[in-house]
Amino acid sequence: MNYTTFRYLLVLFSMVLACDVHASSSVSLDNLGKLSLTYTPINAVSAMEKPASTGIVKVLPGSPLRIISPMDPQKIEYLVAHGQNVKQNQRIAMLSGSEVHHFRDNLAAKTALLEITKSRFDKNRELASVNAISQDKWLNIAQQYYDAQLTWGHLNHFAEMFEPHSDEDMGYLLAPSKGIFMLPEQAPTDIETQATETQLGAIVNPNSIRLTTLVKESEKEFVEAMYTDSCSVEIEKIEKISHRFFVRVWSAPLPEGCALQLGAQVNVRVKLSVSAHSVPAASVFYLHGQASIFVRHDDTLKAVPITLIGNTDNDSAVFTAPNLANNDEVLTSSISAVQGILLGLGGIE
Amino acid sequence: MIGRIVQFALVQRLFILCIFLALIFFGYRAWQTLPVDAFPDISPTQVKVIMKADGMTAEEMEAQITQPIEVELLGIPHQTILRSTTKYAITSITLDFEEGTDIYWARQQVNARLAAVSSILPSIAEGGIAPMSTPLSEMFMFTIENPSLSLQERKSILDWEIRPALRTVAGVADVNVLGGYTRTFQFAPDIAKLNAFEFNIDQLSGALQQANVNGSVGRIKAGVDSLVIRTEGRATSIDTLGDIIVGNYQNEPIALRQLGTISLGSLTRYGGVTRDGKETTQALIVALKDSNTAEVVNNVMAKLAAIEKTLPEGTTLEVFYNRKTLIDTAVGTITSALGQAVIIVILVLGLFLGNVRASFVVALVIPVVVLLTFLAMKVTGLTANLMSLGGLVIAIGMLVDGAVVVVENTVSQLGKAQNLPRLHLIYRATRAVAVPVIAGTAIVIVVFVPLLTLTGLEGKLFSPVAMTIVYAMLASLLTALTLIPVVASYVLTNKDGTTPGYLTKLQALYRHSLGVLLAHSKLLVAGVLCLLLLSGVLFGHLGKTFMPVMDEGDIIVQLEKSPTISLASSLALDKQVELALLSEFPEIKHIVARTGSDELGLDPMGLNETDIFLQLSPPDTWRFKNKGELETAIRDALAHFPGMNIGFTQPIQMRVSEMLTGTTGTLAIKIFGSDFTQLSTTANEIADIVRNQDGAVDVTATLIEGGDFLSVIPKPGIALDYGMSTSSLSQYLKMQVSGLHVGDVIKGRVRTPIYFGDLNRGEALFTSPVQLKDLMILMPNNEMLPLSTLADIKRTQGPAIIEREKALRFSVVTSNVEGRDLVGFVDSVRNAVASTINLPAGYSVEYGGEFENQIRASKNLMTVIPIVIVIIILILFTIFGRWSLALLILANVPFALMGGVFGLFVTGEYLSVPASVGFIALLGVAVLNGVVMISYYEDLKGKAMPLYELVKSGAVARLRPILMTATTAMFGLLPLAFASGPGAEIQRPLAIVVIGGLITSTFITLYLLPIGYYYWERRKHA
Repeated sequence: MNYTTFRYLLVLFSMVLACDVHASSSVSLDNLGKLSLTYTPINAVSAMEKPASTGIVKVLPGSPLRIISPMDPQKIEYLVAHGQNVKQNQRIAMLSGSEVHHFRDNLAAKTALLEITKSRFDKNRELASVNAISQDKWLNIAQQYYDAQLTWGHLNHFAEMFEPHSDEDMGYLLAPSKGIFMLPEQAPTDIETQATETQLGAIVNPNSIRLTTLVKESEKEFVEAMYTDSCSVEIEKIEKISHRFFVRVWSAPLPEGCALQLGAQVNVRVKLSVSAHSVPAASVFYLHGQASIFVRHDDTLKAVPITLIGNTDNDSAVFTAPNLANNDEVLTSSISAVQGILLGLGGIE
Repeated sequence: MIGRIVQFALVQRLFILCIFLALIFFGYRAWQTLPVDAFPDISPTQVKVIMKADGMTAEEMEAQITQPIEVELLGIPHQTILRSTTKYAITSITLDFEEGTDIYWARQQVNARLAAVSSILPSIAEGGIAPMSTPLSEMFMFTIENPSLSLQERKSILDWEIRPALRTVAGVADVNVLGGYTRTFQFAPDIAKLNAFEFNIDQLSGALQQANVNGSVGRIKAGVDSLVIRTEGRATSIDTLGDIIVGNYQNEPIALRQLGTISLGSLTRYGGVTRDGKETTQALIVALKDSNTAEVVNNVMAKLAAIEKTLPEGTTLEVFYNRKTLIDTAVGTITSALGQAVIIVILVLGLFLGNVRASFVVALVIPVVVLLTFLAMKVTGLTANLMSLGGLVIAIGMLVDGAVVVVENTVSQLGKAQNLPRLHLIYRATRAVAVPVIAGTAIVIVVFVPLLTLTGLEGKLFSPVAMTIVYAMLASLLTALTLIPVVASYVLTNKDGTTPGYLTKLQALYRHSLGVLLAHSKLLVAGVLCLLLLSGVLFGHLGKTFMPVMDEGDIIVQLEKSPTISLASSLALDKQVELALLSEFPEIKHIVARTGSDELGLDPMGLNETDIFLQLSPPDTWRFKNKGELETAIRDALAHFPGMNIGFTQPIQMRVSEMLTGTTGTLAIKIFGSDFTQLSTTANEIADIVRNQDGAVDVTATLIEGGDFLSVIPKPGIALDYGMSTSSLSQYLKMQVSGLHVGDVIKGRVRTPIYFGDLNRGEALFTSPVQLKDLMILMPNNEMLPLSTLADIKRTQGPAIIEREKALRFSVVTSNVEGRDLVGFVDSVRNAVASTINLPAGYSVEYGGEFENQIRASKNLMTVIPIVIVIIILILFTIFGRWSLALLILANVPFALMGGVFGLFVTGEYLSVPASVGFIALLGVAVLNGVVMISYYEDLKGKAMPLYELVKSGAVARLRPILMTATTAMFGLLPLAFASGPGAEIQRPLAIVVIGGLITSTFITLYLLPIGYYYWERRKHA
């Protein structure tokens, strides 16, 4: 058999096969008797929803303003609730105990020490410039001054958030900026504090509160938004490190009225961008194990195989299929009866 | 002995009258209290086991439930057949036992075996022995209608108000509820919350089950009293259910409501009911085996009338099937025929006897014998039904024979005005004919007794016929020899012995014609033999069927749709068909269609199967002549709904077919083997062959393949890593797909199941395999994974239904036959299959259905009839003492049968079991006529008459009794031959055969028998 003959036979075989497939997957409308036949056009779909892992409302890593105290007060009485919005300089806690007293004394001492060291520093600066004092001595004076300034500055930064009380053992902690106050045990702890410091809380900028969830690796390219029962929000960040089968995605700042509180754990659906079609879910049937729909072509219904990729909602199936045009009409009633015809059922002998 | 009985009766006339009055009274009482049904109980001793396992595929059901149970049941003694049907989530195993096996013993045996095997069944398997009913127990069906009530509310009323009330009615085995929604308390777990509170489903369901209980503690002595202590934790409402504490999180108690949503839900449905295109709920009342159906129906109706008043306003119970209607119509048909037969027979008697007094005495025997027969039926436990009452109608014409002979002889003796006391003359007259009367009765009884040896369906159907005839004949004998002489002694006068003028003329005509035919006897014999030959030819062309189809007055259309169809789509197609039929056929009042399985599982149909019950308006309002025409028009209309297999049946017919073969259809071809694909392929090939046969209608092949499954196969590495077992995954998915039963809320008598799952009216929220793949699974370590990550999901195909018999799988092709005899049809199918199909090794084909019964019935009758003939010859020899005369009389029989064949041919009736019974009856009547004629010849021999004159005079003298015997039997059956109501179809062939046979038999007795006797005697003396 030469190549031309072989090619001819191959084409012929393909045609026979195609005719056979067509014959076994098409039904003439004339053969459908009085079955109720309704149609709906195929719609184009650019996006669809899918369930994701649980979503959590979290603060973007690194964004909270931590309130670090140079002392460890014996008692902290929080005046605002965890997660409460606070204004700058609003009293957020009453600190009390001997440590407060020590802090105040320490601050006063460090202030005095700073003044002394500063005076000495200022006085000796000119002497040093004319080499009236030795370099070693000047270096020592300057070192003492800068150490005192640093120590004072450290205490003073906290003192700016500290409103002294008439009682020496007490004082108020003031909010360093406006935002959402978080208790220390609930605040992000991704930056370690020093042994001598105590975290008294954190202030979170509302814009850094985000919804985050895990999506499948294969879907990360297509994720556009996240949905909860109460709101939808665009995706802002997609992490580049996998969590086993998933990748974490972060939303944009939560819009007003989203009713999602920080720390909330919610069921999330993700919106994926797709290029597909949708039809009523009830118009999909299975023929020899293959999901199909009946598409009307003139006076014939043809079972067209489709690849289901999801649902826009419970009533619509999203699928891809080659050679289908939007507005092609798909059968939406009596599908099982037409399917029965293809399976060889029917007729009264 | 006989003489002493007659003498005693005439001496103790008042006593005899009192005895008979008492018997009549009890006979009347018996008639009033006889259990009434349309059919005799035709079911074998049958025990059904129904097992359900939520969510299991047919293959799994077969492997885990059906097979183990079958293996255990196979050892039970006295079983005749073990078959099963396994479908999605349900298996129905049926055991038939030998005739006469005690049903309670059988059930006990099955129960014991079930208990033995229960430990190896899956934990989700539930069920057991079905109620003690028969396939014909479905006797009353109704829907509950109220537009303002939801389907769930309607079902709740059926479940908790109507069903318990109806189960108190004696004779009700159970109430099967179909359609609607069963209310549940549904807890839809919020996976995020479970995740947050670190709960998983197993923990949650375990905690709920432990919390939702009332515990029994015991009793304490409190002073002089005792107090019972119990613990209470059980929820009593949806609110208290939510309050149940199921655990704690960081030392905080967690209530059920904190972990999800609690709402009213519905169980997953396995079937639905529609009425006139709208969904509804239906109750089907199943009668206990051996109960009095008519009485049970009456009591059910009375109970329903009482319940209906207590139901919510606007609620109506719409009865669409009431077996009592069929019983009343069928029994009405037969009692009407009985009444007409009585009147006709009395008129015939009056005509032949020619005097009122004699006619009165003979006619008296009919009501007396009828009542005595009822008494005997009551005593022996026979029910009044189509068959037993039919037997009485058949007997009417024959039961007067004895009385006719006694009265005629009495009149004759009295007419001679001998100088003897009247009582003595009556005694002599009765005594003289007692032996022929007893012999005649014995012949009739002998003819019918062998019917009692029939087995199977035909045996159960025709035993009551034979029993009733035997009772009637015995009662007629007793009456003829005791009551008739007594009544005759009071009523008859010495002037009653005159012959009516027209009869004298008829006798003269007969005498002349007999003379002519004696002269041309060869011509007559040749002509008759030609007719006999012709009848033989016609016999070969007669259609043959097992049993004529009884018109039950109802039509059921059976639909079989695509095997993977959903319930919603199935119901949508049903509604289309219903609305189309309602709009096209004003003859259809209402349509009730049932799809899928019933709640009890007595008839586990698939979601693709529908029985459409057509409730018809009275036939006199139809546009069609009869139901056949209407059915044809409906067939034509349904031809416009392609893609579904459509069949026609009737309520009882459907159940009888299922009982006989496990399938519906006149012919059931079973292909036994093991591989589903091969079974399916062969079934389809055979179905194509059957479809090509003439007369094949409603041909269907069981769709074995076509079950579509999504197989979820856990990826072992990942599942192990997360600690997820296949069983836990299965439970989790079950919760999502059909709900997980975790307990019940009990309030009063209402028990509401608690289900875990987020379902919408019992259906999973997701509607495609893709959604299943994306389903998030809460892993035991509280992480979440989409199902597609955890498991491979494959679409596979498997059997939607698995039929087994004697523990072997089989597929089945069923067919009904129209316009052609069944046996011929089966033969041609058999030949075509044998020449076309090449069965692989290990596969075999069996032919069953009604065809099987016909073969069995034919075999039985072919054995019985020769025995009957031998017994008749023996009786005749006892009477005449000569074999030659016995054979001469018996020679009459083929000519009698000839008339039966002509009758069937002319009327277009088929040769069936009833027709065969008619032929057997003919044997008796034909022989009886011969006995009347020949015995008289033998008596005349002593008068030294020339043989020619003896033959002619004797024949003329016996004209009246022979005509009376023949015409009473013939006219007695006329109402049956012309009856048109339900039930008439079965008795009609019998009546036609007897009437046709009597016509030829009477002619032969009047002409050929005298000629035969003449030539026989002449040759003997020559």
